Amino acid sequence: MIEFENVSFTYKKKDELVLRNVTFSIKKGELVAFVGRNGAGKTTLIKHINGLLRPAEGEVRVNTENIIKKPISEMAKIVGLAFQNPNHQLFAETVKKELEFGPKNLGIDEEEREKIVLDIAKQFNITHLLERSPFELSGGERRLVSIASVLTMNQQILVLDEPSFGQDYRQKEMLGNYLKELSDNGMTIIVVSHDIDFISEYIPRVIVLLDGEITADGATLDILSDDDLIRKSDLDRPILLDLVDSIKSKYPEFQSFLKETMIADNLLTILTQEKTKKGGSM
Amino acid sequence: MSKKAVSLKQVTFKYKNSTKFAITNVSLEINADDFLLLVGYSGSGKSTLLKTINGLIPNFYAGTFGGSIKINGEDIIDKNPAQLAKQVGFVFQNPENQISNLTVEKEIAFPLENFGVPRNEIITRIDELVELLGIERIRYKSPFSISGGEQQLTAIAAALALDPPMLILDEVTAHLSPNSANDLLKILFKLNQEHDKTIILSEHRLDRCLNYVNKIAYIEQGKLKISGSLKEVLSSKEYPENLLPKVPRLFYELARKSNDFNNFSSKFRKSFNVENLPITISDFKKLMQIEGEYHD
Amino acid sequence: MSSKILEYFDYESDKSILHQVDPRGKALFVVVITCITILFRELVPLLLILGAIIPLTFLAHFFKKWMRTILILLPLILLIIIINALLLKVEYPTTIGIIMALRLIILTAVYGLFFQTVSPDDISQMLIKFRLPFTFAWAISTAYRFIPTLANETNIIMAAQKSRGLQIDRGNIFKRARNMVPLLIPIFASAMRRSWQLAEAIESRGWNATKNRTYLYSLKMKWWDYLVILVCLAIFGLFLFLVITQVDLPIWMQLYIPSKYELKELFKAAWDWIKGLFTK
Repeated sequence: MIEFENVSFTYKKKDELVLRNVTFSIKKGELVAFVGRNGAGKTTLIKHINGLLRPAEGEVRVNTENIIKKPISEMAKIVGLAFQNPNHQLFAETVKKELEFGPKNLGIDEEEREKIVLDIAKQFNITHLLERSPFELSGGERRLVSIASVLTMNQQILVLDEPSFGQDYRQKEMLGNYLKELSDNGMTIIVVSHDIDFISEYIPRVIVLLDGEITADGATLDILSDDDLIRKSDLDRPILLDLVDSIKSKYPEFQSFLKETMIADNLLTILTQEKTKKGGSM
Repeated sequence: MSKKAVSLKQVTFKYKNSTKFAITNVSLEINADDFLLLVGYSGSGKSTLLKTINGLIPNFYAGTFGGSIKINGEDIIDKNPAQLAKQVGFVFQNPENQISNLTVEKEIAFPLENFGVPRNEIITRIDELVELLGIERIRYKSPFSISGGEQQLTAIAAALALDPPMLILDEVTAHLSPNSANDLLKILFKLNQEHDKTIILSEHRLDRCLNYVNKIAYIEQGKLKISGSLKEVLSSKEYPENLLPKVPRLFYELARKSNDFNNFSSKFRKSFNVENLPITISDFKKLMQIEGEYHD
Repeated sequence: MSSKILEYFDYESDKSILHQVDPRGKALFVVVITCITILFRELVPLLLILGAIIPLTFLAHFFKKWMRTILILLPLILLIIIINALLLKVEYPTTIGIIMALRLIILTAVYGLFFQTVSPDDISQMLIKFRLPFTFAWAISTAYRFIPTLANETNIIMAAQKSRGLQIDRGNIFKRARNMVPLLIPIFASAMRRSWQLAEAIESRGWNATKNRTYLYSLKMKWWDYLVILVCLAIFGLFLFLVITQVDLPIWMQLYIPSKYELKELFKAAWDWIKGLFTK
């Protein structure tokens, strides 16, 4: 569980606030996306969750505990944070050593480490990569290894910066389903992303940041249907929304969805009902 | 019949130190007025293919090369990228790592300087390009004080400086915010329509390109599986389902599911024939209206 | 502190009088002053040089920044004076210490003035005018161009590894050195990738297409630039003349700190006084 209460932050005293009065709360097992234009404060915000940055004002609570005094190395056991580019964190000779890095920093002994690494590798389906060098992996594999390597300490909170960056559709699908599975198993996941298609497909809750302030927080569909908000935040309108709108103009009872399968079901059901109403036969 | 801009015949390349061929026997013809979208999964050989067209392969990257490449009917195999810069402009994925000069203006001047163009002509050309791409505002700015979208426009301006008839863009929107990516695609469309540039683009965000491109080529594990008009390619069995854009995907979904609803007329089902494959949303709306008639 | 030192080398795009001077003139000025500063071993001439440079720092709007740099360097400056004063086995060690410190102060001003008023582009243009190959000049300005990128990237990498529990400043010196590995490898790997991509890009922009490269901007000497060069050469000539003819400097220029004010003596006096306090 993560709670921000009136958090404000500034990099330099004179400068404007990068975060102002940010308040929100995320429950255990939730999957949430932070969106907003570049420089809206998204990266600054997630750096507060594991103590890389400390609020100038306000309070950050993780599992109901104020983390102001907790060192980052301590927070690493509670929060896994992976940045946008896996190249910025991968460095070891083998994937196995990469996965060991976190536990080793915490002084966990070798036997225990071995077990942790095998567990996490199995969970992420990367056991076959363990002896390979992270530098020779494909982009998608590197992304998986980088996420696995921040989750080796049995953390219950995962924070990802632009996880779908540079991924093709197939990789995104795998990642999206994987995040869903983790959150179903009780992990709290926070994602920062520009990728509206990815968000609309896999992430149920969206929080919008604009100039360091939260301007909206709610169900993904509601947020993404707000054209004004979308424009102000330099986001894309999901392609399918236009389609949904045009269907709605013809069939007002049509419900909005952002997934093709659900749109198809919904549309076909309506068409069938209409046909029965009109008494048409087969 | 429009003019051939590029013609690849049986192009094959294997990087030195690699065991696998990056591309195998790729044959592809691109017309001068084409806006071609190159599609494929990560690591399928898209970048390699694009780099053969401006001579980075095989001149800059060592490896085993086979086949022939012609630009405007002229064989380019023994030409290096610098010699080809007047014929092909190339824009790379990472905006920051392709700008080496200290201001936008100097970046645009760089290719012209390399070719020994006189100073007054360089200035005229910069005037034209900043206007064409709408970057007058940032002309004297440093590349790291501008946004990713502006950096990419700067790179496009530099690639266009020598006025090549063709522009190749390798996943250039990957680092951009959605709006700047859309703006960039619009500019490419303008270059294609109003300035007669041949555009070859590789891109993951298919949906956003569909209104602009006239052709698609699909590459899988180094092999060109299919190329042609949007409809041809997207309705082909060679084209993988999970790379489909949203609208065709919805169409296929409806086609499949309409079979489960057995109270639809066969006429209705027929409307879900691949011949009617909608590509854009307006295509889909049209289809829906036709389909409306079946009820009355 | 390290980033503040970098700041000192930052070019400020300003339109001060000194910005208008051709970099070649300024380079000559730097060379002349450096030679003179290093070769003079007397206090007063160095103070005179300092006195002559201070107005220049105002002209270049550099004075404040220079003072900030001096403030950062203050511990070092004091250390130089104290160590020389206490350890040198010469007649006037404190004077020598102050001379050493003065040299440092003067040189920070002179080099600072240069980097403050000469853009990296001008530096590369200057090198081209000195007939160095374009590749070399280009490398210099490009290296400069990527400093902010590199700094930014280093910050990200540090944050990423800290988030994985890395404690950079823990343990003894060897442990700390080992802690740098997870930072250095991604930094190097990324620099390699960047230089590769950059090479691809310039290759595609017609790198080395002709031997007769042109330049959008190139340096042109104005009358005042000739004047600057003339003055620099005159100063240098005068100095050489003094050195060669070995003229004795006038007495007032050979000022030194009297031995009763030597730091060693002052320390000793202070020590005796403290001891006296306790023996009473």
